[in-house]
Amino acid sequence: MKKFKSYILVAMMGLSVTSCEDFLTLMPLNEVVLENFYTNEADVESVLRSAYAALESSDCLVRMSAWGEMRSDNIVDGTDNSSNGDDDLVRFINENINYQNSLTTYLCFYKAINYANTVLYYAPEVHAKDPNYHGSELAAHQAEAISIRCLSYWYLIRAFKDVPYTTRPSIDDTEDFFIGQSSFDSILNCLITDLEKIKDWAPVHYSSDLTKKANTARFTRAGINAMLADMYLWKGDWDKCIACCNYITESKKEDYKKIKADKGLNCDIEPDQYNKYPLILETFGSDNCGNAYNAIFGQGNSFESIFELPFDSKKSNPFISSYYNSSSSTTGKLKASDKITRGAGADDLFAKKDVRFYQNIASDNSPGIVKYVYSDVKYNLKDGSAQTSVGTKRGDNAAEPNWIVYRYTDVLLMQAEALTMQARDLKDQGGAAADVNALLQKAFDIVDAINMRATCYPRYGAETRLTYIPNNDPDVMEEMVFDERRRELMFEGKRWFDLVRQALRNGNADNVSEAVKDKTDNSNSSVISVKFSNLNGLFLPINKDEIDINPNLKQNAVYTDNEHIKKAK
Amino acid sequence: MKHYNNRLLRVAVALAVAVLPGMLSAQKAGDIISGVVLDSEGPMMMVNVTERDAADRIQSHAITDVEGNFSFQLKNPKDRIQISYVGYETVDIPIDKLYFEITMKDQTDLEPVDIVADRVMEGNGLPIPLREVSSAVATINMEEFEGLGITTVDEALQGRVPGLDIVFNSGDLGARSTMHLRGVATMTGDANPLIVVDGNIWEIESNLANNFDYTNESQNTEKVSELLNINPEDIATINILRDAAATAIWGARGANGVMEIKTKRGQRGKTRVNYSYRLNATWQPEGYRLLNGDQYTMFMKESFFNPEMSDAAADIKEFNYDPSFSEYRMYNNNTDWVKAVTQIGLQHSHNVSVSGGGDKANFRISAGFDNQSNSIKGQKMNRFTTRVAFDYFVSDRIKIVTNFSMTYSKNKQNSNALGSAMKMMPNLAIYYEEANPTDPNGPDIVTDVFYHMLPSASDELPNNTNPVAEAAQKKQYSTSLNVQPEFSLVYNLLGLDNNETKLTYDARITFGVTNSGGDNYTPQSLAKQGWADNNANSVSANANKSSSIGTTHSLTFIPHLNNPNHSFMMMVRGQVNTSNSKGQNGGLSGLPSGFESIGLPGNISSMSTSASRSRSMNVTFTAHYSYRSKYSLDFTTRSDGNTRFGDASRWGTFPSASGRWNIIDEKFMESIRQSGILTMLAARVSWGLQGNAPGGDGMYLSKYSSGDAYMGESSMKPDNIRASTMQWEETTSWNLGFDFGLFRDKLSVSVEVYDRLTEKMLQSGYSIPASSGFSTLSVANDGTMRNQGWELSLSANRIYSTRLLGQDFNVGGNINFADNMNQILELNPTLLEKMTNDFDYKNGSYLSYVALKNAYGSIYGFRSLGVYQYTEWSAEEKYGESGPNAPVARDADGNPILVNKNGKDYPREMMYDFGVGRTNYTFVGGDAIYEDINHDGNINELDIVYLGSSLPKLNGGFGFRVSWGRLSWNNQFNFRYGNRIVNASRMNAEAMYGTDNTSAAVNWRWRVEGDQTIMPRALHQYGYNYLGSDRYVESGSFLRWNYTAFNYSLDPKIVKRLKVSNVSFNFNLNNVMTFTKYSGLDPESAGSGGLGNVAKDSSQTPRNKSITFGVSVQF
Repeated sequence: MKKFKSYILVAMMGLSVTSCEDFLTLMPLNEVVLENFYTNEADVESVLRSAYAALESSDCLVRMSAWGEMRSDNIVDGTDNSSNGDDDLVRFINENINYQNSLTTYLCFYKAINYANTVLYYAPEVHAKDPNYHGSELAAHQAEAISIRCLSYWYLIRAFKDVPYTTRPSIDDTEDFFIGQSSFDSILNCLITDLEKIKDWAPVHYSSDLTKKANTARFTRAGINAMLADMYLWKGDWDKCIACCNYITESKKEDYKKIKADKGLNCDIEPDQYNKYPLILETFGSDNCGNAYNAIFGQGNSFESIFELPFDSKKSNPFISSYYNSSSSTTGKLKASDKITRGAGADDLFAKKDVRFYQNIASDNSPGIVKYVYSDVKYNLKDGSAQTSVGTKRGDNAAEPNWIVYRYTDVLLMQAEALTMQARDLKDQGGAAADVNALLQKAFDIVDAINMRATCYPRYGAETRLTYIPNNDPDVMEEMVFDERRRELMFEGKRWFDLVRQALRNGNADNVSEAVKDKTDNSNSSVISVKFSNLNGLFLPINKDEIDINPNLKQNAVYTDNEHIKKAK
Repeated sequence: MKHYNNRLLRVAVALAVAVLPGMLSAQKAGDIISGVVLDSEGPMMMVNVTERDAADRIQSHAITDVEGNFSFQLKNPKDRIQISYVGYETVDIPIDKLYFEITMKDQTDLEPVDIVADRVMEGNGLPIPLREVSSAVATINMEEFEGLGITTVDEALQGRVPGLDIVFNSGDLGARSTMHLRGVATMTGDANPLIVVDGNIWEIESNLANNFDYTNESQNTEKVSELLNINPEDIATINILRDAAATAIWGARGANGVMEIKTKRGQRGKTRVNYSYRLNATWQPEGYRLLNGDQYTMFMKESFFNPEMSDAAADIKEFNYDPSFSEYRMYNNNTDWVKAVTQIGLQHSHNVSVSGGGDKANFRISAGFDNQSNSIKGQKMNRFTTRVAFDYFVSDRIKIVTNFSMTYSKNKQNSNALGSAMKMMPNLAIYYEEANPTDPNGPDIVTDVFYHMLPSASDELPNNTNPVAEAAQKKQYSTSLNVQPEFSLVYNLLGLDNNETKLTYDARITFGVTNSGGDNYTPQSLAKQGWADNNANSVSANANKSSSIGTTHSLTFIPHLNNPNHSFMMMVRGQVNTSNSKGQNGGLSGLPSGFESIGLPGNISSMSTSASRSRSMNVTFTAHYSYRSKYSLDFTTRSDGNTRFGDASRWGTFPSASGRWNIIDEKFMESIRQSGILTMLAARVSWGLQGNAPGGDGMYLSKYSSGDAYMGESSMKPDNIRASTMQWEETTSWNLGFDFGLFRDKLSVSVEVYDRLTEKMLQSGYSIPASSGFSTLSVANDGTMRNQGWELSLSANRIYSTRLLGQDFNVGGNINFADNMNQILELNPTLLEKMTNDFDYKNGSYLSYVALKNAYGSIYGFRSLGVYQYTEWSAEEKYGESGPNAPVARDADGNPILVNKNGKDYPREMMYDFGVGRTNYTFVGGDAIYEDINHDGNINELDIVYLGSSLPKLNGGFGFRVSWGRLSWNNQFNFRYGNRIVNASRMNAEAMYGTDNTSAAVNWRWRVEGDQTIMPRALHQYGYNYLGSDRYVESGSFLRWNYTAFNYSLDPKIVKRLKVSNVSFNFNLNNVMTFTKYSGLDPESAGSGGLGNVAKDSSQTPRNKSITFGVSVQF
């Protein structure tokens, strides 16, 4: 009897031991584990969405503006003191950037890159598992993921020049995460190769209803071409840049036909007025203007949009509300430089009747930012003085503005720049003046079209219309293009990159020094000139946290002073 | 008549027995057995008479009547008859007749018997004789603390156990202490020792959510303190297991040391009832003297004026004493906010215990009730604890043990009241004040309506909620209920006696259920922005429940060896535990006034749920061998299965070995032993490997969770990089110990030296390059850390005894010292770099610097040299204008460095240098002077020097106990010596940077050119007057008199008259006084700093002082 009992006990203990491996495998209750994930197409799409969502995180949006524009002559500190605790932002704007500045961290973009890499890694596995996941769908997803990755790297290399480049997803800690930088040129070539490969895999439209968000919130062929045009422009491949721009103009014309067929005269788009380029009319009603602003920045997902990050009442844009400020009466963290002038003089950036001045800046003496902040505007510039009404500022409860990454006039101005550069090359090679002028005229047509729209030509008269002057002088045309870019794309995170592109092309940063000194007027100007005498000064330092962790990273030589001090300690 | 009948019967039976001798040896089943039980005074009533079989199981049972007679029907003639009665010797005889006449003997009449068994050490898995214990264990008998007014265990242990560093972080009710045993050997997870109660782990991890953040102390304290809700009166002994050999049976869980608590159990004997009552009064020690309203107003005016030298900046209506200002009356007061939120706290504790036992069962039931209000208004706690221990002996072989414990506590919190009161503007009124209607110039009429600053008050002012109103109106409750039933079966499979081979099987099942919750309500009256405020009439509630089940099977084998020189025992144990917890919380705001229920419609402000579960499994083997009790060897190994690891490293095996040599038993020591001077001399050595598991679940898995929505649709994102290479953190420990027993063991001394080397340290949040898409790995193994130290403890029980005035006079005491040094030997250099932050140029921060092979906690900062007297420099002082003590750069000889300006030499100005690309600050008169170490005219990070170490050179405690007759006096002290502390609370109180009320010391501040002082000028949000400098670095050495306690038992003669068995009174003072040069409130609250941190005292709530009166009655 006793023995029998012991047997039972031993058996009980034995049982509990044999099943212990299962017993000790606990799956988390609040999360899905990899082993149970990636079973069907929906899983791939949901991770793809998180890659897009990473791009529109607050960190990324702030950096798109900081890296692309805050260092430029458009923006100054909006708070007028540093006691609000955002010292790093103020220093960044004033070119007092060191490697401890928090705006030089870049994790948010690598998050998007990692999510995209994860999609690219697992999507083929899902394709093999899920019979309803077709090859074309897989290709379209791959095109989107690669586009997201390329856009992220595109921001990174324009801001930092050389950055670590990886196409592997971070899944397991056995991998080597301590990778060094790849050069700007090699990364740019990789991006172009990737995008060229997949540009036809992406759909032209995600929805036949062209007003649907998805057509601009996800990468379409037009979006990929816009990114490529931008990259070719930096690379100096004018022909390919123009080809990409032409693709977009053709597709916009297709869209225009379709909209015209649907809506007839109410479509608000009039190519015949703007040198055959299909642009949204700025005028509305009898004397008013602001129509294009309302469509592009007020509503979002406009006809002219190519790729933008969408927000709505459920998910508000975290950048605009605090940096451009859409809720309270004071300015946000940023405001327009008071050097941006309006009038009839030659030095004035904006012509007297250029409606974009009011669409960018609240008024002559209140340099708060209007773009994106107002949900709709209405101006009457007939008498050339000031607006008679300004429209509606977004409150906390209003639907929030999208953030535009690429739009049609941006692409058109890239094309104008490429044409001007082609003309310059031709002139330098001793080409015929007529050929040079033909190219310059093409560029001018684009600038003219955009400017006509903005000055509401012909409604408010011809006095502010641009006149063609760059007779066989590409430098004059270049200035016209850059000024028009500045006016058209102000506060859209473009200006600094434009200046850097120009400086790299010129081989010196005089243009940048001029622009930055113009904005601050502070005692720092000699420091700034010295800093930009080395072109690496145009790029940001790698953040301290990264440099400290990863011995394979090399600091931008312009910023190594800080480290010397530290070693001395 | 009855009497007569009985006699008759007895005679008849006697006759029958005499007549029928043949029946004598032929009792059979079914026979009636009868008899009478007597003692020296006559027949005994209610005596138990039982028939028992060979296994001692009861077969039949009878109780004697008034005449002492009994009878029962015999079941089996081979059985025995047993007669027992409390207080009498049990009689056990074979059933060889039908009638018995038994005379019971009073137990007190027995001859005294020598107990030969050694004292044994239980809890280590095996019953090892005390003199064969080879590991480092400190045992505290709670009898030592009897009569002390302690409410928690940690209070009693502070300064009592060498190497156990207990720090009380806060004086808030229900807040717990931090305990570190032999330093911190891990960089992740909880470094507190494991607490084991009656062999069961107090499951901290499973009761709390698994993603619980151990670094967040404030969240931590409240929850963990619930676990320590064990009533000190229920505790029998506490063992502190210090080395790896001692903690080995707790495996990975015991890596930080183990505190084994054994509770009292019932004992055979008369039922005893014990009741005790304690009344405890607590109060706040006096902190910094603060500015009164008028001083504060002046200080603020200067503070706003100085940075801009502008009257407009200082024109703040609340400081203008302008009667035309509508709120004038509210801002012209001298309010002592601290006094307004403090009070004398009272605690009533009632404890009842009933214990007793007999042949078949022992029991102890206890219940305690505490009602406590703290010295800070608005803090209250009720606690009810009960514990039942019941042992039932089914037979000689089978014992059933049942334990049940329950703790219920309800705590009303008001945690930041004192801190907030210290910051409140002293010119502000507590209650709304009105003009006197009869006499407009007379004193204002104070209403009973709490005053709150209006939303229209000047932006610069601190807009804190009125702490007095908060204490009265805010509701913040937390409740918890913990129930822990336990059943165990002990079966002796082989021998019962010590001279037989024993095999014992012990099966145990333990359940634990904890329900806790919190209810908070903030009325609209406390919301700063009125209805628009998100806190207006807001409620939040949370509820957590967790349950756990654990089973343990142990088999203990103690062979009986024929050669008595050898003794051997071993045990195998298997354990399986599983637990799960669920929690939810919700918050609503904007409820209609008068409603505080979470079920009402309101604006949902928060809503979340959590769930977690955990499982564990382990197998332990332990063996003990001893040769003549002279040489002892122990070996223990435990394999832990942990759900936090993947298949590859799920099981960790951690062996340990230890040995002891009782040198005193050697022949050559014979003469010394005989002399009685040295009665114990032993050397111990132990080695062990300990493991530590990471602090979170599922880190070896790649996890996906929902991310931000895109275009209104949800997304999924990878959450982590899976930790496939994660391994157990391993600590190799060596311990060398010596035990001495002197003067016939009156004085016992033990010395321990240890070395703990932690390798493959688990680092949570291990930084990796952002190019991976993640900033950190959730966990990685990296680095090596060493803890070395020594401990010395002396304890003397009745070291001196004599007769004094006809009473016994005894003196006893204890002393212990310990020192621990902790250093990092290896760490990824980049990680090390990251811990060493660059100086941030900000006020109040000290440079953190972590270097390999240096003990951590070094303090680096500027050297402070007082305050500049003048802005303008001149070689000779021109009073009120200029002088030599002005901010100019000086060379190594102290002469000003001259610069040429406009053809004339001027002394160079002293600058504060922020580093590259920033505007420097030029010092002026009234600014703090920092020593320009390198004489470059700039104060910058190159002028930072070493200012001392946060680590104490020595810490420990001592105590003594004097008893004289029935009166005893008990004292305990603890101390730290040789450490330095950053007095951050003084720094904040003297910073003169913000608008909070500050220390009255700032009345000595610099005000006009020429002032000679050590207190700089007042600057609102400006200047660099409180950079991390030696001005705030103070010696942290202290000696604290923890308690002094008197206990007096009433004369037994009086007691007997009161019909009770014992009455005693006790009286004690806690936190009596602290001898220290430290100027802050509590040098202890600074702790000793961690990696990359210095010891900083930023305490707002010092530990209470208290006085306790108690009475204990035993029936």
